[in-house]
Amino acid sequence: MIVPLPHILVVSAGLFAIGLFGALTRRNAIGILMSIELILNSANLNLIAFNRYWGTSNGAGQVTALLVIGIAASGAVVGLALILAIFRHRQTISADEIKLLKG
Amino acid sequence: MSLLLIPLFPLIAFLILILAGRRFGKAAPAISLLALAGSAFLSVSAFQALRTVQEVLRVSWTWLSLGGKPLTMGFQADALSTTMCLVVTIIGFFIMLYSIGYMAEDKRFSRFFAYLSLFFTAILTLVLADNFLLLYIGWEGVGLCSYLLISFWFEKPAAANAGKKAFITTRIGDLGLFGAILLLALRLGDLSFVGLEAKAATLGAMAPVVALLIFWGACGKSAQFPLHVWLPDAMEGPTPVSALIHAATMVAAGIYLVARTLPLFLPNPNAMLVVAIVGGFTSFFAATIACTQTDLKRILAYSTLSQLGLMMLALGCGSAFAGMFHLVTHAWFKALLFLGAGSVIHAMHHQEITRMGGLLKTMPITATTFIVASIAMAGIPPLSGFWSKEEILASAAGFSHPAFPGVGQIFLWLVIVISGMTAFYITRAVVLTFLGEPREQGHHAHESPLVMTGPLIFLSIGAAAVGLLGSPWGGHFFQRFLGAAEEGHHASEWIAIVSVTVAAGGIALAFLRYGAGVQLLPAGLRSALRPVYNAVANKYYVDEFYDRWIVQPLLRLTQRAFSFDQKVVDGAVNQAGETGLRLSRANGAFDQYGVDGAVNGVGFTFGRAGATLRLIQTGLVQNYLLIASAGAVVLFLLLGGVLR
Amino acid sequence: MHEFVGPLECAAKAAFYVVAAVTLAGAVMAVSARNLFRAALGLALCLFGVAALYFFLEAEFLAVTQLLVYVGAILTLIIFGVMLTARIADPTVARWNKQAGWAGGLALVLGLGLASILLKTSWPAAPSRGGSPPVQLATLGRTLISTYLLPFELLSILLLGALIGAIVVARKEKT
Repeated sequence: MIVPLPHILVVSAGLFAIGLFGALTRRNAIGILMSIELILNSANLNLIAFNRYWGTSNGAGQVTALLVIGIAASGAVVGLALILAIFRHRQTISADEIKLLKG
Repeated sequence: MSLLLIPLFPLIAFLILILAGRRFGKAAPAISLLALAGSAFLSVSAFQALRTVQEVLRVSWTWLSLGGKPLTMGFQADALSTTMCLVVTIIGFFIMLYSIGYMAEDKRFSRFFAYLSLFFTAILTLVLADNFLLLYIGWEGVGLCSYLLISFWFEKPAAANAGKKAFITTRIGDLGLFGAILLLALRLGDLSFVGLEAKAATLGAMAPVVALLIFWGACGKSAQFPLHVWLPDAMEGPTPVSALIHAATMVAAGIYLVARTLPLFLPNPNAMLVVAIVGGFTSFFAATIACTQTDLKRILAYSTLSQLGLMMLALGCGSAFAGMFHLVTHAWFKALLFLGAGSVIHAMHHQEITRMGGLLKTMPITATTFIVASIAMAGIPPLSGFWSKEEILASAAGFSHPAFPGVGQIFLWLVIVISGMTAFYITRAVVLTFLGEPREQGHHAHESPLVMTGPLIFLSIGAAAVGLLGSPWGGHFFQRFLGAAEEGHHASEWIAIVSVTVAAGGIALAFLRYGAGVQLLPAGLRSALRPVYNAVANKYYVDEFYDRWIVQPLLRLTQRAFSFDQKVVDGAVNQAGETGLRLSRANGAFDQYGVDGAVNGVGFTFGRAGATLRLIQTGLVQNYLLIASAGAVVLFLLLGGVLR
Repeated sequence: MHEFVGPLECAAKAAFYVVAAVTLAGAVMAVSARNLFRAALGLALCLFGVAALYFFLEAEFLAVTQLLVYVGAILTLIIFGVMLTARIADPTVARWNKQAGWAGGLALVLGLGLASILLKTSWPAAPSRGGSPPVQLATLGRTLISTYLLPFELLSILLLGALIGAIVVARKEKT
């Protein structure tokens, strides 16, 4: 292999961290959605890397990654639909202005 | 055994009257009279027994056993006791009879007789006792009755105060007697009189101490200076009381006591001298005051003081007989004088001689008997006072002290001067009260009823004649009876002449001054002596002195003790209560603020915690996510071994 | 990819690291760009980079699928969303919210921590491939149908549900 396994994993970890940061800090709801996509991608990258390095006979890692992509897609769809609905109601999709759950 | 009954009869009368007196109403005195008559009768029989059979009646019993030694109490009827018994019961009987009339309208009629009976019980116990202890019991009883009877009309503050004064003053004297009894008990172990006579010598140096302590007690009861102050005030009581107690019997108890214990005094010339000096001084002092008083009863009271002084003087000069003889004669004429005064007061409703006069016409019996008594007291022969006075003069003349051999002569002349004054003041009283023209409503006065005048008459017979028993014409019966015998000093005739002359002179002077209005002293001398006169008229300010130096400081002390009790003692108690209260309040506060506060605090804390925790619920999902992620990261790192 | 040897290997390694760096840069841009459109482009770059990395890891089918689905569909959707809702380039609106500091710290800790863990652990040695072939597409298909049948079916239901749900949520209300 070209690079040792840890290096790829570090890249994936970095993606994850960046995605987490974005999910926690982005004010715009779509921005949060984008960050979540990043996180999902980092998970996929992990799956593929492990599949390549330790490989199973049936390519389970890649299959799983495929399924994850499908889930990500459905998540993004629903999320965007919700964001549209909220925007119509409140004319804003700024996450820190939607505080309906405030205790 | 019959001896016991002599004091017992009046005691029974007292108990009946004090418990059920009201029911008898006007018949109450009958019970007392009956009892007293019984006692008188028994006294006479004891007297007879003594005279004829020469037997001293005794009865005694063991009272208690003190460490093996039995303490006996008992009665004895020797010459001295029997004399006193006769005086007390016979004169007492007539005084009681008189009281029926005098106290007729009083609302506590039966109680008066109850107290009188109690008094008789006490005094008879006193004179019949054969030992100091029983005598002391009687002594105290007499003091109590004196108090009860003086303050009989206790609604009058003056009477209540007089009763207090009498009791307290005599109490001070009683301390002396009690001290003497203690000393005798300690030293001799025997309190009986016969024992005293036998063992007097063993007392040694203690003898004069004991003697003077006894004398101090006698001074209290017989009102010698300086304990005389209660007697004039005691005149607040009803007149029969004054007659009985403060003329005839109680005050004589002191004389009796000294006479009884004379064996103790005789070996000590100094003790004798003290007795004589005190007696002589009191006599002179009181006689001067009597000359200035205008209250009839006060004059008689001071007269009593003076006569008692003479008796003490006689005792001090060594003659128990002279003292007792004069005691007997004095009892008769002084009782008569008092009852006469009572009759006058009953009629006039006041006691000021300056507002009386001319009562001889309106109250002949009272006046006559009174005059008889006055002549007797003045010492005009052949009335009783003369004979007893002669004995006193004889004893004075015969007295000598190792250090002052001539002192007897001084006493002699003192007695003569005093007799002159006695004649003077009693004549003054007679003149102003009975003679001349009535000054106020004397016209309306009327003679007293028979129940009062009867005793007066009888007593006047006694006042006139009883002295004869001790005279040569009576064969010196009294001397022999009391065992005085011919003591070697008969008063020489010239003393008798001098004393009678002086007495007559006193009477004449009084008539001149008060009957005829002749001024005895030149005007200049009179005004110069006015301050002296004022001092005498004010009783030499003795009462004021006592009040200022003794009574007031004591009152202040009691005041301080009271405020101490109030502030400190009560204060301490209140403080304890206050402390308890404060503690409970603190407890309550603790419960309110502390305990409840803690409970509320817990709730409050939870509220605050909740409020604080609520802040986490921002409603912002990203906050939640942050915290969850943080937790997850920590977990990762732990599991990964980066973080331990 | 076949085994590289010699200088080609170095070049391949270098290429890998460059691609990785680009991916991360794109991610950073996606997270931090104020202009949402630029953020979307950053995301696009990142997704491309990930696809390239898949190629490096001999997962060609996945790489292509990634491109088709993620970049082609999801990213397009996101850009639609951005167009329809956001005030795109308002300079006064903050990019990040108030917890940026904390989140940044957390992300940093996480990243560095994970990195140190990953680098420190002794991974079991990769099996030598020798001549064994990489995973074939047919194999993937068979696994999908056999071993992972259930997840596959569930995914299709999920997609159906998402489709219907999105329509319901996002349609205009009948007033």
